[in-house]
Amino acid sequence: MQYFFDLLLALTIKEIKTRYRHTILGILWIFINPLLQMIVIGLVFSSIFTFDIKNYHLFLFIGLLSWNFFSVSLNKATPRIVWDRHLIQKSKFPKEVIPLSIILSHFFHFIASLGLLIIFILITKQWQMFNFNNILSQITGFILLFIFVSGISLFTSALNVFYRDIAFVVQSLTLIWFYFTPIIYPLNNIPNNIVPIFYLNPILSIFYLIQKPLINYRLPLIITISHIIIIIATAACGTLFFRKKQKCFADWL
Amino acid sequence: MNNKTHQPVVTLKDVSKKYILHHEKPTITDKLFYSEEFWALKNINLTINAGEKIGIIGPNGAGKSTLLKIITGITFPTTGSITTKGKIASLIDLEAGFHPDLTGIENIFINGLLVGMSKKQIEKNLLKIINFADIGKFINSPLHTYSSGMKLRLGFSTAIYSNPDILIIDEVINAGDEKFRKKSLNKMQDFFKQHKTIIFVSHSLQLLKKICPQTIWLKNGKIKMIGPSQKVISQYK
Repeated sequence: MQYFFDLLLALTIKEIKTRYRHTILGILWIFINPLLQMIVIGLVFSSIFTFDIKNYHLFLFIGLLSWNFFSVSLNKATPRIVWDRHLIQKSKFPKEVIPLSIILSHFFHFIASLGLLIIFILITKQWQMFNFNNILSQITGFILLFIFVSGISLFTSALNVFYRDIAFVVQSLTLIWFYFTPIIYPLNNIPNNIVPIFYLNPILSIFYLIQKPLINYRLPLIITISHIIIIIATAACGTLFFRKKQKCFADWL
Repeated sequence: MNNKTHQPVVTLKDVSKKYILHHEKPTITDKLFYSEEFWALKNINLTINAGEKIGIIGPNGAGKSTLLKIITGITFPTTGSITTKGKIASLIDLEAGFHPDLTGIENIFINGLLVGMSKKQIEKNLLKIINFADIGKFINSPLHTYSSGMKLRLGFSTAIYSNPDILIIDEVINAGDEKFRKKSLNKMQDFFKQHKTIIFVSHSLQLLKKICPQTIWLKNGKIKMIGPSQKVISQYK
């Protein structure tokens, strides 16, 4: 177990380090990307859309940063087993560390960009709605997002070994998934009769928890609870699927 | 010799390995109507005892690599069973896992963990690994500045200091320059003296005869002959 975490951590640090080697700005890039993104989306979206949200730009920032983490992690982790085939052919080690280290390294970037967002909130003095309960639900949301993306990635990265189409499928689906999840728009702008369709999407509750301080509607508790159950079940199934399939990885790479 | 030397450390019982041959661009129709099987190993029964030095010979495609992969636990047999005892290190693909943008030391840590060393073990052996690889001040430079010989030496040192009970060698013994070759042969000798188990695959029959008292001759996925190296090699020729 100790070995598993040492290896996971070493690979995660490798991911983070190698990404910024030989760049002039180095580790500063961690902050520049989300900063530019926030400025652009803040200007563009806030001037196009008019929703009845008081701090629409904050709603956007926090939603888009979280979605970015989710979609980039998933899309980078899915083809990774195939890319790292030389490692799998070389020695015997817990292969889960390959997709998980990608997700962890992106989680680190996500936390860094959240830090930036907190600074922005403090400077602009918009912290009133971030009370203890709201922050707690946000943290729960982040943890659930991490669990969810890990579970899906374990599943897709294993499946991608056998069917290389999966990476492309994931790419297309995440894009569609984004527009069908209330991230840049609030759920209460959706006509009531089609809201039940949105309830089928388990990631809805994650973004509800994450954006909770900034929205003025409540999701039925039963919906949130069933979504959390689905998310944890997904993670469990993804892990089991990966464990079962990893025995044949070396034969397919 | 103590009693430990006669315990079996690798036991293969009726091991067979089937591969499905993949053809270029397998489309859905190919998958449904066309699949070809290939048995890389068939009914292999083999016991290797602790302290044994055993050679494997055979023409290309005889199943040598598949057998090594099954013993190392990289792949699994289709039927039959394998049990191994102790830590196995293989000197296969020494440079796999190295990242060109990381320094020598950073790569030692990642590669060491990948070949099954614990973090503590790497820290303890770090200086020895660096000294043995003999790359001097380059150790703190990114790997893309290394010559191919230096990379190989680094890979070899990391693997050799993982302190395996069973060492699997696949031809690499001839790599590197003369000086390093001698050094790695000496290191191998140390392993011999320590009564470690060695499985050695080579096309260099002279070296094999010198190192391994026992040899397995693989042909078309089956053990064609097993016995004293002298005898097997003379038949093989």
